[in-house]
Order: sequence, then C-alpha cells, then structure tokens
Amino acid sequence: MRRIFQSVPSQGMFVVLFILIFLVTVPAAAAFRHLTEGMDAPEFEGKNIVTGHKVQFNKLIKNNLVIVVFWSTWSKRSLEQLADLKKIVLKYQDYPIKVVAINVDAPRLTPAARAAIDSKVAELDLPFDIIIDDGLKIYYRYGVIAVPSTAVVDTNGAIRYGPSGYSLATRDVIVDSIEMFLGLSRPDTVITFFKRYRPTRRATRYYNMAVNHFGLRMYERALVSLDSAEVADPNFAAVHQLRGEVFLRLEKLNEALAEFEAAAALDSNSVPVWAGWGHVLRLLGQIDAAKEKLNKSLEIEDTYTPALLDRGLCWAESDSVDYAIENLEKAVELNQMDPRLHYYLGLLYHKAGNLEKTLQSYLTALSIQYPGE
Amino acid sequence: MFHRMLRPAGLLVLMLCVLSGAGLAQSSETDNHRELRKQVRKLLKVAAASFENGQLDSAATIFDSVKTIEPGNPDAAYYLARISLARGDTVACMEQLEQAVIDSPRSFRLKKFLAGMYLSTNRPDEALKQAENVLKIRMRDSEALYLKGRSLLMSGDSARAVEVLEQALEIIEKRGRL
Repeated sequence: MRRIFQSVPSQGMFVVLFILIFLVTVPAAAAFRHLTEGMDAPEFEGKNIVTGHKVQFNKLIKNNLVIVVFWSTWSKRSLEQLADLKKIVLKYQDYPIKVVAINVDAPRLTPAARAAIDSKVAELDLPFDIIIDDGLKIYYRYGVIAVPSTAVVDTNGAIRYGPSGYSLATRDVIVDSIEMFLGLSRPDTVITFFKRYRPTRRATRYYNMAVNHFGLRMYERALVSLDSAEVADPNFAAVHQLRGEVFLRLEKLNEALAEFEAAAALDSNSVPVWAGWGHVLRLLGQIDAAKEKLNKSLEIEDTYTPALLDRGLCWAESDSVDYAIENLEKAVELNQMDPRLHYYLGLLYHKAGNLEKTLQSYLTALSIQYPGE
Repeated sequence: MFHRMLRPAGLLVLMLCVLSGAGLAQSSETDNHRELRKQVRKLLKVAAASFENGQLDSAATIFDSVKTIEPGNPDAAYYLARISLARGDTVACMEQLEQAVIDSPRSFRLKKFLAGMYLSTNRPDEALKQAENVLKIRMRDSEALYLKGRSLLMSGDSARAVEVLEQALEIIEKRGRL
C-alpha cells in the first residue's frame, strides 16, 4: 500500500481529482440543517478525552481528508459506525486520513454519564480523536438532525458528503471517498449517483451570513444576505430553502411555499427542500399534499428527522395517532437530543391516553432545554 | 437698609455653597460607586471564565473577594454554590443558596437553582415553594414551570404535573426556542 501511495501524483492533483469525481458521484445526503455539500464545514476544537491533547479542526484538514462523526452512547448505529471506522482507519493508517468522533450524549454530562462514555471509549479502543461536545455547541453549529451524522471534509474544509444515520451504504461511500481521495479507486468501483450542484464562493459567503443572521433571529438581515446570495448565484437552491425558512418564522406561509417550490425546481434531490415544502403544506392544512412531499424527502433519506416529525404530525391531523407515534418514535431513536421531537411525541402519547410515556417525553424534552447546574 | 438686603443674600450664597459642596461630595461618591461596580463586574467576568475552564479554586477566591466588596452580590453567591456542587459538597451548596435567596430575594436564578437542589435531595414541597415564588412574578417562566412540574410529580400528582410541563413546553415552542 505504501508503494502505491508513493507512486501516485501530488496531493494537489488528488484534491482536484477528488472534487471533480465527487461532483458527479456523491449521493444526496442531509445530516445538517443549513449545510449542504460543497459548503465549508464549521470549525471547532476540543480535547481528546483519551490523550488530553488539543484537537483543532482547521489544523486537521491541512493535507488530510477528515471524517467528522457525531455519535452518542445511546445510538446503536453510531457505535456500529465507530467500530467500522476503526477498521477503516487501521486499514488506511499510512495515509492522510483523519477521523474526529464528537460525542453528543447530552448538553451537560453528569459524572456518571461521563464515566459511561469513558467506559465505552475504552471498550471500543478507537485509534482516532474523540472529543466531547460540551453544551452541544458543535452539534448546534453544524445543525445535526440525527445521530450518527457524518461529514467527509476535504483539504479545503468543504463538506463533500454528509449523510445522517448509518448503513452499509454509508460505510461503502465513506470507503469509496477515501479511495478516490487517495487515487486507489478502480473504474469499476466508482459509484454513480446524481450530480450535486456546487455554488459559487461569493454566494456561499452571503448564504453563510444569512445562516448566522437566521440563527440570531435577525430575519430582515437574513433576507438581505439571501438576496445577495441569489444575485451571486441564481441556481443556488439552498438560498430559496433558507428564505423559505425565514418566511416561515415571519409567518408568511404563502411566500415560504413559493420559495420551497423554487428550491425544488433547482434541486429535486434535496431532502431538506422536500421536507420544508411538506412542512409548509402541513401548516396550510393541505395534509395529503404535505404527506406526498414528506414521503419524497424520506424516500431519498429515511433518517431525516424533520420529515419524520412532520409526517407524524400529518398522520395526527388525519387522526391516525398510531402511525403518528410510529414516525415520532423513529425520529426520537435517531436523535434523542432534539427536544421538539420529545415534545411532539409527548403530545401524541397524551392524545393516546398514555400518561406515563407523556411524562417521560416531556421530562426528557425539558431536561435537554434545562440541563441544570 | 443695605445690611438688611445683604443678610438674605448672604444666606442664599451660603446655602448655595453648602449645597454645591454636598453635590460635589455626592458626585465623587457616585463616581467611586460606579468605579467599584465596574471593578466588581470585571472580577465576576474573570471568575466566571475560570469556573468555565474548571479552575474552581481560583474562581472561588475571586468570587469570595467579590463577596467581600459586595456581600449580597447574587452572581458571586450563585457561582460559589455551583463551585460547592462541582466539588460534590451538596450540603454547602444548599446552605449557600438558602442564605443567598434571603440576601437577594429578587434573584430568580438563585431560587430556581435552589428548587433544583431541593428536588435532587427529595424535598418536593420546598422545591415547589421556590418555583411558585418565581412564577408569582414571572408567570411564563418555563424553567420555573418545569421545576414546578417535577415537584408535583415527585409529590405524586402526575395529572397536574403533565399539565404544567405541557404549559412549559408550549411557551418555549411558541417562542421558537424548542
């Protein structure tokens, strides 16, 4: 393997080749609320909980392909993913591949919870950096919507692949992305999926400003930044998606609807766009149309929790409480750190007359909001 | 006649001198107080940063010095209680909070912290009292409602607990903070 690595062309060529190939081969993925593939991964830093050394994302991405994975001890799939990543890292240990596993068990860890994480980490014996996301700051900065979630980040810091959940297909794409990065892929192993649009850097800058304004609830400013992003790149679908979300916050449902429609016209494979469209339709009371859009979102990615939530609420509107609960329970299993999911599940349990589960859900939602001193 | 006119004028001048003197003294007192408050704020900021970095001893020293300057300072009291809790001394934490709530009756943060401590030591009635003290002034304080809900649950009133917790979540959801 070392001989292969030494015989390949320079790192710069790798990056170009990697980016070009990824533009045509990467599958749709939606692990993060306002980050799409092609955009810069947010920076972060932390302390490796095993060795104690500082882990700095902006240093890791220099000349390395970095795989960022959000995981937790309560997510069986994330433990499976960590075990698979261990095998992958050991296989490619002589190559510039880095993994950072960010634990998102809870906003604030009790000593017992921390001990459980340490014990799991010791048991797994992982050969890569593991940090704890204290206060879930990195989790919120990335806008994680399911656990595990992964971001494969190139040497420019751009997300090249960002799936939520974990399956054999995800593992295969991660391995293939590594092999493409290293120039080890044979033609018959290249995956063919659909093209992913890459926005201009100028548009991405304005879009990122809009995301910041949105996070600070400065909606008028967000709209101004989005207008600039649209001028810089009229084909950037995420601009319309975010504008739709701004209009939702401003309670302008018809304007929001138009934006999601426009986004879908530009990018028919965007999971958050179909989910957002479905959400607006649900709020407008168009339940059947909403279900259609949400089903489309979940066909592309069945772990997209906002779509599961909305579909569950659509079923609740149609008085099918059992189906509603099924959707919400699946969403909660994928992302236990989202208090909204617990809240709505609690409302459904209440409707179904299950007091014990109602209480459990409400208490969980509030304990995430108020982790205590 | 001229003397008679001078006397009230003189008195007036004297009064003006006294008042401006007092005003000057007061203004320098206000300046001192302002300066002191500024220093206290700086100390609190440094101490809070030490606390967040896990440097409990140095944080405690600075918070103690704030308490020397301002004995009733609620922020210093809050953090000193947190430091005790972080050190595992729940007894000291609760004693500090109980005193702090008396010293700073307007601090909702201290009341809620104390309510949480009562819950963790299985004293729901006292927790409920603190939560309701907050809710008397801030009816839509979702954290206080959460503490109230937990107190009711601990006391065995599940039905009422559900109502209160649901109310808390609805408030947060409507604010778009869920």
